[in-house]
Amino acid sequence: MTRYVLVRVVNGLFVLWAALTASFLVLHLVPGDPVAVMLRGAGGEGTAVDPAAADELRAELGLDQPVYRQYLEFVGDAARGEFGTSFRSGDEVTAVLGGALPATLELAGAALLLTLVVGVAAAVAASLLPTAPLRSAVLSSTVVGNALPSFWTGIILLQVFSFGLGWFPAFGAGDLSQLVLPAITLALPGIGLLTQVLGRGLRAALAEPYVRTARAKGASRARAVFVHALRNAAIPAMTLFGLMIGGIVAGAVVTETVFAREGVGRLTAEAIGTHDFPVIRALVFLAGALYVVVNLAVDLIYPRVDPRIVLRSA
Amino acid sequence: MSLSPPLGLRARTSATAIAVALTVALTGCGAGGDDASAGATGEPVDGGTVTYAFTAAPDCVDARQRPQLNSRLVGRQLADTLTEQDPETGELLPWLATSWTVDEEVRAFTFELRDDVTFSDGERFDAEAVKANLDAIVELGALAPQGGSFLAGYERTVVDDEFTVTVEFAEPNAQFLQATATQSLIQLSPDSLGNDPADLCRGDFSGSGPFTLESFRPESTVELTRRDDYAWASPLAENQGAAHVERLVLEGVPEGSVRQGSLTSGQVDLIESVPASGQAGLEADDRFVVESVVLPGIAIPYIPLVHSPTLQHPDTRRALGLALDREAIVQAVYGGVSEPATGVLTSTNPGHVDQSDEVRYDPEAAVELLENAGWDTVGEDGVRRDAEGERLSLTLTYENSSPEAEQQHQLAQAQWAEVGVELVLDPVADMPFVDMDEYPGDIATWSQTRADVDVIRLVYSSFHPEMSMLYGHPDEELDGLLASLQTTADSEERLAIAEEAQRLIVERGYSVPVYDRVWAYGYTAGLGGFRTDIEGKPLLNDVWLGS
Repeated sequence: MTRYVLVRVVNGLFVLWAALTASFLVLHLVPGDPVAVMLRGAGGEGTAVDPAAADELRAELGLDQPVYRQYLEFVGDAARGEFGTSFRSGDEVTAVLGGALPATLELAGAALLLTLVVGVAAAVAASLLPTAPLRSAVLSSTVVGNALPSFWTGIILLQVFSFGLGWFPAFGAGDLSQLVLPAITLALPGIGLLTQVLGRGLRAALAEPYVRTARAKGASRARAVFVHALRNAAIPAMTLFGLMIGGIVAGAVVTETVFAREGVGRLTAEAIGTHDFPVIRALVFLAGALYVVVNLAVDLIYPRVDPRIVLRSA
Repeated sequence: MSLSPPLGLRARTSATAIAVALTVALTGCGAGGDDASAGATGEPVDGGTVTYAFTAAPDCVDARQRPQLNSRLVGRQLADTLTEQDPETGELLPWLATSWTVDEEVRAFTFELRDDVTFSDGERFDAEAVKANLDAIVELGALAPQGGSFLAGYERTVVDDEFTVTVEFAEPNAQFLQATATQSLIQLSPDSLGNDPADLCRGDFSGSGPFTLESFRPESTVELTRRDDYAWASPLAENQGAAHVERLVLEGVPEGSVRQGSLTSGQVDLIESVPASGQAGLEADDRFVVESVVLPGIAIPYIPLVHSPTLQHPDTRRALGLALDREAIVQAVYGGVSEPATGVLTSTNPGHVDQSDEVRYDPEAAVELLENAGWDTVGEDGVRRDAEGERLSLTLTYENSSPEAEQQHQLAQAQWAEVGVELVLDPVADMPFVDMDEYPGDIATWSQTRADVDVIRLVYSSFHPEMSMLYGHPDEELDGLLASLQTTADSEERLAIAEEAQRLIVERGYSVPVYDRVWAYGYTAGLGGFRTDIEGKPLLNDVWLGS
């Protein structure tokens, strides 16, 4: 077990290195010059740029170094836990991230909880339904959430529940009422996916001989679902849920923009737009670490859910 | 993604980004200066909180350090300036300075100051404070880009007596007077000036404005509280005492439809940049008021580059302007919200001259000019050629920033094709840092906003390598006129010079003005006292909430 965790941690470090390398490459392949953005302002607007000042700034930021030197620093500093200062604001990257994290944690936590509760409930409810057409009707309805773009869902939710009914505020963060609509927007696609995967898993499990045996022995359909099938159907759903946690930042980009919330998602979009390398590095590192930790946690939970699974390091 | 509208001292293509809004003055349906507002009428009510929605909340509230409109808007509420500008006429009005004189060489500016003004930290506003503020701008250097350029050639400020200062320059600098009305030169408490620039950005300063900063979350929320002992309001404000509303909450709401929905559902009282798609609906609803302001800079142009080998003949350059259907562009691209250009300057720039007899759509005249310039045969591809068989193909290199810009260029491409001019669109991620005489392609786009005729000197002279279109290829006559703008203190005389310069610019094809940028505010009809300064920024000490 310890050996398994150790190997996984080493693998995780490899994943982080690969993520940093890939983001470094992408940042240098994508056209755009952080110095231009800094001197001229975002979107290519602002004041006239003195080429001498641009060169000076480039040197100050280390952007005049050969690419391999920049790469070694990009990865090396991250390895030492030094994330430097943001190109854009001049603040410590850790402070920039620290400022954006709480609002996103709140949003992500609420959205994931919602995904889990509604997703599992819908899948279980579907499997309890007496006829096949009813079951597939419930399963199909959740696909809709997955099919709608978050941007559109967000605007529609706002039109109805904020502008129309006036139940929730349209923007800002910090209050529970400000959390409801963005959390639903962020959760909807995940709910659809989770219901699909868990619902299909349950259907497959319910067709297994051990369930038939249980039913033959007099177990109710509900007991067959909760006691016998759910554990077996949960494994793929858990994997999926782990991936969702890792991918929550991507969803937050759109949601945070529509609902005018501060957070890691908007920070990501802005950092990419302004080529703010130090902030992007920290965000990639954070997202990568989240993936690694969550996947490890999910893998460690597998044997507890399904004792047939044995963790082996190789 | 461009979230914040900057002043636009150089915006290459972004010129066309609607968002860019700086120096604006009111026109259209509503109030400007001392006009009555279209909102609530009657006796102003004191108290309450007004909530305002930005397109993007500022990342810095020190207006000296940011050219963006959102920073300047907040700066206007926190601090005052030496002078103010009449939004109708552009005339300079006294504010913290009660009067001023300019020496004959236009190098020394003497200001008499008010003696009853204090900063919110209790420090007194006096001649020493003005000197400390101007010195601090120079000290900030590149961090105060706008202010720095206004103070080019700054020698020193002399404290003549407690409430008299003289600002001295090495060279004539007539534009400096109007610069004292901009938020780039706001007056802060001398005790704040030494603070770290990043802390100043976060609001660690005291000003003499009608509001003080209560809290600030960069790019999210600004909260301001009324200053009760405020008694030196701008001459534009009807309310000369403390602000009517107790608190202001300014929120960044980037999505246009969300901003408008927040207004119509009563969650905010006042929004900027009403989306073009929703403007008609809001105007039709008598519970809300829409007021549009035109930015007083240069009209957003296509600039035929004089170093382009294809554009050597002035008639070729002029023909481009005549072949452009501005009305169609404004309707199709900007939803009828912006206005077709009528001259080199926008209609609200104090130096605007109506040149619509030249700046018009006349494809037949364009064809005549092109033939006159030697492009007299049309090839099978529909593109004109000269005697050597050279094709009349022009390249527009631009920063790929907004969908509107892209659409505008495509429409221009189609319109110019009608008269046999090929326009090749060359979008790039970043314009290189080059002097203007090495600017790539044949055509440039530009945006520069300022409520003074000096903007013509910056853009259409040959004086500044990085922003003057004729740099390296001077037009002696035009340069002579534009140089004299800096040495002429008399405002009538300056306007006359500027008029002559605008005429030359259009006649010689140095600019193809396209449209005047417009910025629309929307607010609830329960809001009274809404008025804006010449840059289009609201005077929030004047607004009040009716019952």
